[in-house]
Parts: sequence; C-alpha cells; structure tokens
Amino acid sequence: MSLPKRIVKETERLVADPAPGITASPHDDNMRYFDVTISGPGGSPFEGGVFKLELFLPEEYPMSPPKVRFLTKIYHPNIDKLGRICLDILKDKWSPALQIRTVLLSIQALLSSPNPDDPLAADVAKHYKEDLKGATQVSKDWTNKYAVETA
Amino acid sequence: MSAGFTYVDNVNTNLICCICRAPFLNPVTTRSCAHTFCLECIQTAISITPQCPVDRSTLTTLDLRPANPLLRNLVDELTVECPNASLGCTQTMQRQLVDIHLRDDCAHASVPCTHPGCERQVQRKELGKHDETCRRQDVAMCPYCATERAVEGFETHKRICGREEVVCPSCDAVTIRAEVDTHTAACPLTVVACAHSGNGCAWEGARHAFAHHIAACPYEAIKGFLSIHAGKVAALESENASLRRKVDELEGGLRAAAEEAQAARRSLGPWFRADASTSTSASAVASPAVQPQRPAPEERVLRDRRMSPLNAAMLGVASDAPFVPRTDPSLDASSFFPPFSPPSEDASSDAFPYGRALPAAPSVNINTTLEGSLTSLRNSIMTVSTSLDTMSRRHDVALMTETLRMHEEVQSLRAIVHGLRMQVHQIMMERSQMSLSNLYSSGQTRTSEDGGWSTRAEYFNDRPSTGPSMSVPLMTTVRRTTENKL
Repeated sequence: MSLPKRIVKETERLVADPAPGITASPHDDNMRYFDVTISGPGGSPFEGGVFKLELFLPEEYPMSPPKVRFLTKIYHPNIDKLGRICLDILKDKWSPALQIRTVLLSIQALLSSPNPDDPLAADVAKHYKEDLKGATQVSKDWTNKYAVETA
Repeated sequence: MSAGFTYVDNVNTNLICCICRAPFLNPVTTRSCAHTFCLECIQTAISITPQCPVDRSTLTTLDLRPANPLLRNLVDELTVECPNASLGCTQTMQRQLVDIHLRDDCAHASVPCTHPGCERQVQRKELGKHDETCRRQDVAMCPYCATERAVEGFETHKRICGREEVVCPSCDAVTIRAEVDTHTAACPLTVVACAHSGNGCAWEGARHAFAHHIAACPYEAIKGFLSIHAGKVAALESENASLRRKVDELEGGLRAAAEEAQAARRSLGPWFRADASTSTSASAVASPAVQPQRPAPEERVLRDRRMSPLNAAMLGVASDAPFVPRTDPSLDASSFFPPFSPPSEDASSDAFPYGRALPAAPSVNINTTLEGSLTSLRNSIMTVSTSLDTMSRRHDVALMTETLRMHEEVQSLRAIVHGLRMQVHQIMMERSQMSLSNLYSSGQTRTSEDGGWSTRAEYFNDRPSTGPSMSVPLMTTVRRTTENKL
C-alpha cells in the first residue's frame, strides 16, 4: 500500500531539517522503518555518546504511536536491557498530533532527566534512588563503553 | 485525512491539520478547547482516544462544530493540481472546484462505459475509442425483465417481454404477460362459450354465469346421446377412410392391369382383334335384342378363323357351315382380312372332291392360349401342305394318263397322214411321169428333182419326233381345260 502523505512529509522534513542531535533515515525497502541516532544531551551522564535506536511506524500511525527501541546498551532507569523505553507518549499519552520528531525529542529529554519513580528497569531505578552518584557514574561508564565511537 | 491533493503554493502552517499534516479538509473546531482539525481526522482520533490530540482534554464528537467560514473559505480556495496530474492532466484549480472538474471536464477522469453490463472504467478522452470496441455495445437492458438483450431486436423483445405488465381486457386486473393465459383461464369476467357450442348451443357469457346457464342448457340433457353419436360418427369416418384407401389401391391395380392388357394388345397385333370380338360378342350375348342380328359366337370364331373360303374348304370345316359372312353387313372380319374373290359354293364343294376325305384339322379354339392357337395353326398348315402334296401327285398321274392317250391318237393320225402322203406321192409321180413323157426326155434334170422331193418328205416325217418339247404346251392346254371345268 502506498505511504500516507503525512509519513512522506515527515520523512522529508526529518532528512532535510533534522533536529539537533537527532538523525533519522528510513530503510530503502521499508519506508516505515527508520534507523535513528540520538546524541547524549549535554550535562547528562550520556553526554558524548551516540545512541542507536530503531523506529517503526505501524499501519495505524498516526492514530497509534510509533514503536521505538534502543539498540545501544544504556544504563537508564526508564530503559530496560532489551532497549524498551518507558515513556508515556509512546503508550497511553500518544496523540495523533505528535510526530516522529517530537517523539525523538522526548526520548532525548528522557535521557537528560531520568525518572526513577516510574521505572522500567527496577534494579537501575533502585540504584538511582539509593546511590545517584554511583548510578550516574555507571551510566557514564556504559556510555563510554557502548555509545562512544572508538576512533 | 487529506484526499491527497497536491497544493501548488506553500500553505500557511496555520491552515495545516496537526493530525494529517495537510491543509484542513472540511475543518471542524472543538467547542471546548477551540482546536481545529479535519473532520475525518478528529473523528478517527476520538474513536480511538476521546481526547483532544493537542491538549488531551476530554473530547467527544458532540464537541465538534464546523470551523469558522472564513477558515473554510481559505482552505477551499487553495489552488491544487488536478488529481489526475499523474495521468497527464495539467490543469490547476481551486480545491472546491476539483469535483466539478473531475465530473465534467477532466479528459483523464475515469468514467464508466455507458453500455449496461460493461464494467470497464475508461478515461473520458478514450471513451469514444472504447465504444467502438466495447463487447457490450450491442447489449441493452430490458426494463421489464431486467435481462440483457442485444440492441438488434430489442424493440421486438420489449413488445413480447413476458415480464411486461398488461391489463386483462375483461376484468381490468394487472398481470404480467407471461401469466395472461393463466389469468384468462380463470378470470370470472372473461366471455366463454357454452361447453355444447360444438353441438349448436349459441350461448356466450361471462365465466361466472356459465354454471347458471349449464343448468338450463337443452344440450346438457342429451349429453350422453351426443357423445355416443359422436363416437359412431368417428367410427364411420375411420371406416370410410379405410375403404377409400382400399378403393384407391384397387383402382391402381386396375390401371396396372389395363396397362398390361394394352401392352399385350400391342404385342399380339392382329391376333388381338379376335380376342376383342370374342369379348364383345360375349358381352353382346347379355342383351337379347342384339343377339339375333349377329351370328353365334362359335360361328363367328369359325368364320374368322377360316380367313378365306378356299382355306376353309381345305380345312374341311366350311362345307357344313352356313356361309353367313356375305349376308352380315356388320362383319368385322371382311374389313380386317383382305377380301378374296368369292368362288361359288358349287365350285368349292365339287372342285375338290378329296376335301371331304381329308381328316378335319383341329378347329382353333379361341379360348386356348396364343401358344395353343399357334400350335393348332401350325398343325393346320401342315395338313394343308400334305393335302397340297397329295393333290399335285394326283395331278401328275392324271396328266400322265392323258398324255399317253393323246400320244396314241397322234400315232394313229401320223399313220393316216403317212398313208395319205404315200397316195399323194404316187399321184404326183404318175403326174410327173406323164408330163415328162410329154415334154423333153432328159435324164439329168429328172435326177435333181427327185432329191428335192425326198428332202421335203423327210421333214414331214421328222416332225412328230419332237414330242418331248411339245409335251409341255400340250399339258398346259390340258390343265387349262381342266381348270375351266372347275
């Protein structure tokens, strides 16, 4: 089936006018499947890392949210070992007025402000609650270990 | 959502629906939060989540109302390309006029083929070309029976279509044509004739009155008799037909027999005549008025068979039979056989005295077959030839006798003549002696005169010796004499 005009427009804009620290490019064989990279926001333990994600637009999009998952290992209380993200706009708070760009910006913001009160990875959240400094250090270590391109 | 218009100009972002990311199409505005969406977009979104997509406030379709007319006009007047631009249409127009353009103008718009049953959608500019090749172009739809019919003969079909509604001429009820006969057979107002109309009842009336009539119909009372009568007539007719067939066969047989008889008559030739006269005379026997004027059949047979009186005499049958033919003017045989000169009855009976002595030849019986007749005739001819032979032998004997007798007479006459000659010679000698002594006495002359006389004497003596050559004319003369006696 042909691609809805909205997806075509969003894709065009993502490629032509990308948001800062975010890239998204569709697969050639499936225009609903995007390879995404998000740079760790400045001032966060993820600064300096470039995290890879995959994004898929389901058939019902924009009436249902896109499916997004981290491919790069990350130590974050709202992201589990499989890369699944606990973010309300990707679930019950989704609105057809949202777009790929806004979703990715929200994820980037989530990296800046972890929310251990609504955890997905319970052990990470407990670590963040009990030892913020130590947990932040682990996140920095993981970022360096997994998300930094070794030159 | 957007129907897929392609907008020619950049559109102000305030006119973009946040759901479909396209200029508003049929925009509505929420009553509670005053956000504007395409009608279709917001309806779909509310059906999934009853919230405003922008501010997540609770929202139902009842909270939607048409957007401000100003906004509506702004989006409706946006310039768009024809939806068939990919097919080649280069026109652009206000968005609100797209439907009219597609319906009336666009040469690339798909329109259905005008022929019923053809489901093809063709571009308007190619409709004419399609018409020429459309396999359904000969098909039209019957409005009554809703079936497809060829255009050729369509009007004829409409006139006889079984589903067309028609009105009963008698009771004004409406039926379809296919059931008119059924209806007429039951319609109480249809005029029917009496069941006995074939027997002469002249009553005609509506069907519902028939029961009343049949109770009083005079023919109803004799119904049983009429049926028996009809049965008998039918039996007679069939018998008559079979008899007619038989008569035809017999006539055919008769005709064949007549043809055979004709052929036989031709092959028989003159023989047939006798047969016919026999049959006619046989038929004549039936009428006594005719009989006396004609000879009895057997006499006729004999007479006809006789052919000539001479023959009859030779066959030995005529002498006893009365010689009727000359007296009967109506005799057929006289004209059929060449007439012979009728000899007198005396001659026929006397000239051939041997005729009676001959055994009578078997008379030809006309009742026998042709072969038998021919055999008997052959026998008769043989008999005739035998009698002829006998007669010629007798002739010869008679002639011989006559000739011997004549011969003796001639001998005696010759002797007499010789005597006379001797006497004459003596006289002559005496006379010459006398004259010689009277005249000269010369020995030479006397000698020559004697030789001349002797020669002449020899001639006379030799004459009777030529008997054989003279015998024939003699016999002829005798024969002629004999015939004259006949």
